[in-house]
This record gives sequence, C-alpha cells and structure tokens, in this order.
Amino acid sequence: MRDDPERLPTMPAAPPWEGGTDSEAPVPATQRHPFRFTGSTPEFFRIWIVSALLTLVTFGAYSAWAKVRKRRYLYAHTWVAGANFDYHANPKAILRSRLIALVGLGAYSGLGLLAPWAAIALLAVVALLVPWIVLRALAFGAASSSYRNLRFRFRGRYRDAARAIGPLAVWPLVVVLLPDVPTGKTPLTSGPWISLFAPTALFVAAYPYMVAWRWRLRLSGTAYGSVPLACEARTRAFYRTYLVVGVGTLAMFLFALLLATLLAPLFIANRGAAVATFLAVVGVVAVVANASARARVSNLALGATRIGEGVRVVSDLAPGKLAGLYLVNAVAVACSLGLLVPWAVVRTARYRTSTLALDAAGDLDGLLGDVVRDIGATGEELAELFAFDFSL
Amino acid sequence: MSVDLRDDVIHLVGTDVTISIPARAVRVRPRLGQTALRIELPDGGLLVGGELSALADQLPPAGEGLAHRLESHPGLVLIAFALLPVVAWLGYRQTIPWIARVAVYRFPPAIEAGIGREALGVLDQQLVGPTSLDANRRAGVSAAFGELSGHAGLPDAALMYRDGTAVGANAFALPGGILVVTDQLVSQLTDEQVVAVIAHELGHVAHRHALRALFQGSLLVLLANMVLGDAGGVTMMASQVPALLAQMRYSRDHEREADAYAFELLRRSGRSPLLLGDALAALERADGGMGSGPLRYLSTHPATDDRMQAARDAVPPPE
Repeated sequence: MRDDPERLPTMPAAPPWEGGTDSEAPVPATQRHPFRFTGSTPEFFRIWIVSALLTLVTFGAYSAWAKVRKRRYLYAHTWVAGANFDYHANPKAILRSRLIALVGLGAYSGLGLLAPWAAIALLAVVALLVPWIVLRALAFGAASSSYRNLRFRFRGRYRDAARAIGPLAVWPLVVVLLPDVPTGKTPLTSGPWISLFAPTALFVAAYPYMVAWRWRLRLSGTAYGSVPLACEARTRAFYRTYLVVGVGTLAMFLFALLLATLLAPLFIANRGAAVATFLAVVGVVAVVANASARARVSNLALGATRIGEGVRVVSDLAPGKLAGLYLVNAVAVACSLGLLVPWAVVRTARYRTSTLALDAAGDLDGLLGDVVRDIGATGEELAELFAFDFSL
Repeated sequence: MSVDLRDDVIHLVGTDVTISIPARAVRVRPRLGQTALRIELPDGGLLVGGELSALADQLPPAGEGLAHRLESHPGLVLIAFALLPVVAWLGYRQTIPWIARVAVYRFPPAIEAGIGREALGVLDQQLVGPTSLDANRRAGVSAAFGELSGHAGLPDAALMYRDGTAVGANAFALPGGILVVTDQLVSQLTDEQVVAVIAHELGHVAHRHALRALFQGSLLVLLANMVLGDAGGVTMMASQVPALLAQMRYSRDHEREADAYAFELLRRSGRSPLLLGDALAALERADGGMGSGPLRYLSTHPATDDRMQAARDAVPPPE
C-alpha cells in the first residue's frame, strides 16, 4: 500500500504514439515522470560529519556502515512517479569485502617489493578473477536497491564483464612486462615510444569499447522485479562520442599552449608560478574533458535504455553545466580540505537527478504493475554469501 | 487517509480500505535524517508516507543507532564538527607515524634487506648506471664511510657508487642499509662534505625511514579515501590534494630527523655539523631547488636555509 504525499502533477509531454491505432481503445499518451532529489546539504552534512568522525575513530572499521547510511539517505531522497528508492545493503558484507580487498592489496604490495615476478603472476590471476568480481558487485548493488519495496536484480555474463574491464586489467600487465622485451632498455632511458606508447595507444583505442560494454553490462543485466532493462546503444556511437570529446580536448590543449607561448616571458622569472599555472591548466582541461565525456556518454547510454516494453529513460546532462559543477566542487573540496564534500555530493545528486526522467506510454503503474513479487529471498542470500562491493 | 494508534493497534483508514495491525507486528525502519518514515508489515508490505510521521514518536524504530542520535542533535553535530579536525590532525601527526614505527620495529630485518636489494636492482635497471668514479676517490670515501658506520653502530650498512645519469647529484638510503651515492654528487663536493651527506643517509638507515614512509603513505591514502571518497571521480581526485601535501610533510619530518642524526654522528666522529650545511649549500648552488617561498610545501625536503640554520645551531658551544 502506498501513500503519495509527494505526487507531482504529470503532464503529457508528447503527442500519442504513432502506429497501430485501434479505434476501440484510446492510444495512450506518453507521460513524462521526472526524477527529483529532495535531499538537503545541512541534513546530509550531519550524516557525513558523524560518519567521518566515527570512521576515523574506528580507524576505518565504521566505513561500511557509513557508506550504507549515506547511500540510504541519497536513495531515499530520490523520487520518481511519486515513490522513492531505498538501499538495504548489509554493512557487514561490505566490511568483509573491503577486508578481502585490503588483504589482496597487501599481498600484492608485499610481493611487489620482494619478488616482482610473483607479483606479476598474482596480477595475472587477479585479472582473470576481476570480471567475476565485477559481476558479483553489480549483483550485490542491485539486490540491495529497491523501488516501491521491490528489489532490483542483476544477472550478467562473464564474457560481457571481461569486455567491460578487459583492457583496464590487461594494460598494466603489458606496460610492466614490456620493458623486458629487447626493444630498448626501459621506458625512461630509451625507446619510450615502443614500450610505453604502443600499449597506451592500444588502451586509448579500446577505451570507448570498454565504456560501451560497461554501460550495457550494467543496464541490460538489471531487472526491476521481473521487468528487464535493456540498453540499445551501439558501440560505434560511443566511439563517435569520444572522438568529439577528444577533438574538443585537443583544441583546449592547443589553445592553452598558445596562451603559454604568449605568456612565456612572464614565467621565466618565476619558476614557482610557472609550475602552479601549468598544473592548474592541466587540471581544468582534464576536468572539462572528463565532464564532457561523462555527460555525453550518460545521455547516450541512458537515452537508449528502456524498462520493459513501455518505459524509456530520458537523460539530458549538459556537458558545460556538468563541467562547471565539477570544477567548483573540486576547488571547494581542495580548499576546504574535504569538509565541503557533502555539499559537493548533494549538488551533484541534485543536478544529475534533475536531468533524468522516465517516459511511459500509458500509466506507469500499469506497465510495472505485473511484476513478480520477490519477497527478499534471492536478494538477501545473495547479499550475505557472495557480496563483493569494492567501491570506496 | 488517517492514521491512528489506539490500544497498541495501528488503524489506517483510507477512502476504500481500512487496515488494523497490532503495533507489535510491524517493524519501523531506522530513521535517517528527514526521510519519510517506513513501516514494514508482517506480510512483506511496506507503508510509506508523511502522515505516518505522527506515529514516529509512539513507535520507536527497531535498533535506532547511535549514529542517528548523534546526527539528530545539533549540539552533538557541532561537537562532531569540532572534533573531526582534531581527531584527523592527531591521527596524522601521532597515530599514523606511531603505527608505522611499531610495525617497522616488528618487521623482520631479513625481509627488509630483501626489499632493499630488489630496490637496488630496480635502480640499476631504470635510473643509474655503473660508476665511473676514480678508484682513489672511492677508496677515500669508503674509508670514511667505514669509520662513520662504526661510530653509528651500523655494521651491516653498505655503500654503493653509481653513475646517476637521470637523477644527477643525489644520494639514497634503501631499506636494509644500502646507501647509494652518485658520481655527480661526489664530484661536486669535497671528501669531508661527502662524509656529511653519508652521515645524513645513515640517519635514514638508523631510523628505517624508507619502510616507515611506505607504511605511513599507504595508511594515509587509505584513510583519506575512506573519509573523503564519496564524491566520485574528479572531486575525489581533488580531495587527494590534502593527502599528497600531508605525505610531503611526513617526508620533511624524516629529512629533519636524518639531519639531526647526522649532526650527532659528525660530532661523535670529531667533525663539525657545519659540514652538512656546506654540502647542502654546494648542492643547491648547482641545482635550483624549491626555495623558501610557498612552493616549499610541495617539497620533500625542508628548505635548505632552514637546514643550514639547524646545522649552525648544532655546533657545540666552545668550551
């Protein structure tokens, strides 16, 4: 049973759908249900600061509980079609997976210092395991999330996960191993173009492919109850997007270079100012490129996603606005030594939610109504036994 | 819709439905800020809504945590806000270094020596080449090194000479007591000044700085990530900036410790602490350095002027 104190007036956004008019039944109009974020910085700040203090005092042990609390807050304040989301993860499962990750990292560091070849072997083994770990993490995240008291589910294939993170796992291995190939002593002393450039070029070429599979894996593998999601974005669309972003970034760099050559006389005197300005410019270009990529890719992937047969997702992040958001956040967080992180988080959540909506052909309740009631069993057990949640 | 709690029974009266549930059978989800109250029903259903807040006071949630209580009182939040920088500062200046010292104390010396040998191998592969220093010069420096390490009580320390093509005039102390000096450094300084630099590096060995720095750095990054890691992506990178500056500060602390050790060792072997000051001055003349301006916070070493002043302060007053 639901009560809808927050129900928004829905407005028909588009003319009735085309194709197949049945003179008996009226063609349903598409209704747009925008997402809304109702959280506030003062409230989230309280949760964040208590979490931070308890995390420090317990030397990190509380961090799993902190994460669950913060996520719950953000989910509970995200509303669409008159209902909000919820997050149910068990903090103990998160803590367990973090300890496992820590032990693994310690083992790798220790081996790296003592027996680098063993470390590389460990890296290779981990590279094989990572797709499976990613699948488990996605399943855990989905099973821990609910909308209108119904949990999400996730199911994915190993090979899709391998496509989604393969280059990322393989690239460090290649870079580490290549110096021993007799093309030159090391990346630093000779032949950097072969031992560093080639793997990096390959990685850059494979990046849009990786991103495409990451989005598709996550979206197409998720189901709301028994209603599956499907992301129909094509890989080549991702390549086009990154090409656009790449060209834009190059243009920015050239412009910065031009500016640098013009202002060079000013910097010869003051070495410190030169270093600082250089870092600032690189930082700004990186942030703008990142925001631009993120906005375009999100719009592409989410815009091609449908839930069941009658609901489509709408996303229209503006790259410029997102870049501005990120820049201000970065400056604020750096200057406040981290105390403004909650403000940054709420700001970002508010903007991103405001750009999301669901387009439903007909009544949303009707479309999502015939879902199989899933009373906790699969979700809870999965979360308890095979929970892997590695995001910090 | 109206909600009422009478005789331990919850009554919900809607336009076409009435529900009565004994209060004992429901589970109220622990509250979080101002989120809408959620009541879990025994058959798996869920009640959500603003009107339910009226029940909030009468139905205490299952397991309302310490955290929620802390978050709900503005006074306690203020205290948490004040305590956070204090705890963070103490953790950074005291706890993390203390943990690193304790861990290093228990660390098997044999493994540390193994790490040092690996590191030397990496240096030889990546950054330095075989030495081209004159044999006589090497003999002189090695003799002084032997004398110093005797005074220091570090018989396992070893001195290696390398041609520092990529690193220029420099000296390293690797875990396990392996010291490396570059030809460029030796050729720019007098024998006695090289001895002073060696004394400084022996300070790193005696305090086991290399290993401590490794532990401190890892702990710092881990904790910083846990506390500040919410804002993903770019903002998280921005929050790494304080962690990075903090690591630089750790490094400067270690350099100061090594300087102090060097002054003491030089005195004990009958030399003047000023030798180290002279060596540093000579090295800085050759290569710029970060200077004493605001950029010194980015430096891994304290400002040379400060170090030279410390050398002057370390000279024992004339008897």
